[in-house]
Amino acid sequence: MIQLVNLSKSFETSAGEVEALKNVTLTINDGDIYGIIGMSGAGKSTLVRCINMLEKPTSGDVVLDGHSLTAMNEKELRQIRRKVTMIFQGFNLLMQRTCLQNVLLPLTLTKGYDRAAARARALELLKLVGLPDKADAYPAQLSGGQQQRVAIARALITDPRVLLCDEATSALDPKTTHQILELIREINQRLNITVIVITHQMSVVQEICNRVAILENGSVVEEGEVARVFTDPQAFATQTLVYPELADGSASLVEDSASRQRIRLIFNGAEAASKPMLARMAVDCGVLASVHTASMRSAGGKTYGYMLLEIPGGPEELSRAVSYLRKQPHVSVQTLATQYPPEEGGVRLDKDVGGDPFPKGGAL
Amino acid sequence: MNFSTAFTPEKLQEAWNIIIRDFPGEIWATLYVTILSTLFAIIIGLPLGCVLVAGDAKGIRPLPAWLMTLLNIIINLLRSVPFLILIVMVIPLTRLIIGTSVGTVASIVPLVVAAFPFVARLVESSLREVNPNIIETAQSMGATPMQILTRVMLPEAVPSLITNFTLAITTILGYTAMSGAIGGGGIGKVAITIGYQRYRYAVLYACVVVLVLMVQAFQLVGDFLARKADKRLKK
Repeated sequence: MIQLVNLSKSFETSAGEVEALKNVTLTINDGDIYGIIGMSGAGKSTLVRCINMLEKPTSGDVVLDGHSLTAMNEKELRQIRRKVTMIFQGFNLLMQRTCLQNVLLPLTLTKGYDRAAARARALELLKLVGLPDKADAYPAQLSGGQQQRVAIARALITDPRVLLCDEATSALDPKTTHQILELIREINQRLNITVIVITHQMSVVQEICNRVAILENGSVVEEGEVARVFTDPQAFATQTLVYPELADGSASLVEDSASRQRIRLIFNGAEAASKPMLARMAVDCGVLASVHTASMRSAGGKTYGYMLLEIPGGPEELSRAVSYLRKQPHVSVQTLATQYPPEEGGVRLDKDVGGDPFPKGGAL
Repeated sequence: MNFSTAFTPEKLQEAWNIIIRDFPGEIWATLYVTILSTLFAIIIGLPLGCVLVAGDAKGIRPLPAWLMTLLNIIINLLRSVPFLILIVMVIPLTRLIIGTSVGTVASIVPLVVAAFPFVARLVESSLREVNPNIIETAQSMGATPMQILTRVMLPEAVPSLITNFTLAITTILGYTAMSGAIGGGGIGKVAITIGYQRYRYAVLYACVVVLVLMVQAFQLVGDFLARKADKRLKK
């Protein structure tokens, strides 16, 4: 278990003191794949570097299985760093060394390691990450995804307890990202290694994390189960990450027509979005809804998101559609006003007249 | 210089005789003075360059600021003294080490004194080119500063170091010509004492051609080795 206790870090810069982390308190349990997400400049990289003490926190503590890391000297920390290993956005392999030599590097830093056993272990790990034939290749001969696999094998060779992933997939294309995340998940399950994933991509958190903390300006603004955070984002920063289209105003809901009737559907999990719900509504109640805006995501095997529908016809069609949709499991329905006065400075995009209590967070 | 009289058949014949008589020995002298001087300059300059990078305030093993300032001042001072004056300045040191301040072997001392600060700067620039993220990665593995230097920074810098050492050896080759001033041997000495001072211009030009060929040879070998060493190039 890793506990971050009131962790703060400030830097002296020419522009004065900058507080990169402010009183961050988090608990990461064994076996977690824990996401730490935030926009660039939120303090993610500083936070992950405090976990293995590459950056010394200004105040607060990092406690690994009951041992305080701030109380340790450099020598003890070097031992800890063999148990808390790291992979990076830029892979950071030695370009003048073969893959095998790269994987072996952490072991060669200790005196009197068993060369034959180390070599066998390194080859085994290269096999685990899917590169059994690249032992003697140089990193320059590999693709980005392959290089990250070598970096993962290198991070595993000291049998770590915790793997820190610092934007490990940010330099990769979506397909490769998916493959690397699958590999990380497999490592988490097969080798029982706790994983901490630092990212700015919500999709990465969705895909592999079970818990997530949202970092904004050096503070944790929200923390919890990934499924909960997706269904019910509380903090503004979280809503921005979960529904970027709404936050940046690109999906303007206030643009036209005073006469159109609109319904918003909120998907709170289950397989709601995978069933042809709108098609069945058209058949069952004869309402031909069209989709105005939609943003759907799946997290932990469930579907979350929202869909904005336009209902043709008059109030009668509207009420038929609403009563039909209310019967669907895991879907909440809001009917929206037909007049949408724009509000200044907020993300509240329209008035709720349907009486649905959904927008508890103040927005959405 | 009078070209019409410098290259008459008699002059050329005389120059050829000098070339046949002196060049093999003098080329050899130039070669071993250059190579030995470069070797000693690297032996001193390589660790010094490492200290300059590692001991930096933001380096892997910061050293006291006054020490770094002192090192930098010494290096800059040695680098700014003209070589001809440096030769005279280090005469006491040369006597102490070699026993005499005159001769081919004695010319190695001022060459090393002139070249090691230059080599230290070259090593410094090679090491600073190493991707800082890779150094951070080594720290995240629990590497000590010494391990980072020997297992990560120096191996990663090898191609760049070879390129810079090639630059050093060609520069030192140029300096050997000046060491003829204190009786050091070599092609440079022949060019000055016979070619220039005794008006044997054909010999002077022959010396220049030989020096150019030697620089070319060092450069070719250096470039080849650097390319061969660099595993970043896809093959």
